[in-house]
Amino acid sequence: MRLISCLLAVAALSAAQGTQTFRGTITDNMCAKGGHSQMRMGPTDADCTLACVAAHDATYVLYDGRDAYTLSDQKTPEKFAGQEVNVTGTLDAKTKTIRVESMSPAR
Amino acid sequence: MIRVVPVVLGVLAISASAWAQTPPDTIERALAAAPRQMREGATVIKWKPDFTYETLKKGTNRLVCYDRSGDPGEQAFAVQCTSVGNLERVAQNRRFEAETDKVKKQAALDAAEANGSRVKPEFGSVFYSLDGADQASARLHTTIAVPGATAASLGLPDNPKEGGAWIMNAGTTTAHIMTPGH
Repeated sequence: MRLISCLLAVAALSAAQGTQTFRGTITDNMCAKGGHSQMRMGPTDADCTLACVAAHDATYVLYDGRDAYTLSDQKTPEKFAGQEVNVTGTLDAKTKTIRVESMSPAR
Repeated sequence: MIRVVPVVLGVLAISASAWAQTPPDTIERALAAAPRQMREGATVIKWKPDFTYETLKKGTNRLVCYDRSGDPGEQAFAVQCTSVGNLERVAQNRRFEAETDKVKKQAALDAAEANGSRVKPEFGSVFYSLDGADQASARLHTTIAVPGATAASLGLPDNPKEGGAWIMNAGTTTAHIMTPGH
């Protein structure tokens, strides 16, 4: 019984350690690095990102200035398009995908 | 001892030779963005950190493909194919993209556009980009380069409001036709 409790505790600890907070901007995979200002897909970065996803089948990504991370949750990012956010979740380094647990505006 | 040294050197030489060969998977991966009928004849290159490239597979048509996975700002699976005539443009793009400061990068791009040093892609050439978390989930995005084109010169809108094909970055060397859905 004690052994099971210990194993569960270790498993819980391991899972918690895998959770990280990532800070970056919600943008789309087509223009993660690009300046949206000249694309004329909308007056703001947010409009451009939303249009890229809606009209051109792009996906939301988190761009931290160097890397673009695929987000497992493709619904929540819509309301944060073009904004800097904190994303809490676990990273699959091989696919650069964040399994999103929560997302909030960066302060 | 005299016998051992040649044997070891021989093994090392064979290992180095095997290492120097490009794994078929590397070439196949880069070709994933190519249209099926152009895949066999396409060239495959590998970009180097100094913005030059080495040829991994010499092709017979004008399509060239390369793997961008892991480059700054790219997703885990990112491959692209375009015309061999666009390699100078792509090399220049990579120089600009090496700048991580967004404001500085845009300023450098604007300056190059203004002073005429921005390399133009071939008019009418196609860029096939396949990007995603992995190859299975990657999405293909196809654009057609029309440097300098405007709504007036091409007869297409320069914004997506009408819902059809349109020119992004109209009037610049980056002008390209976007097609909804891809």
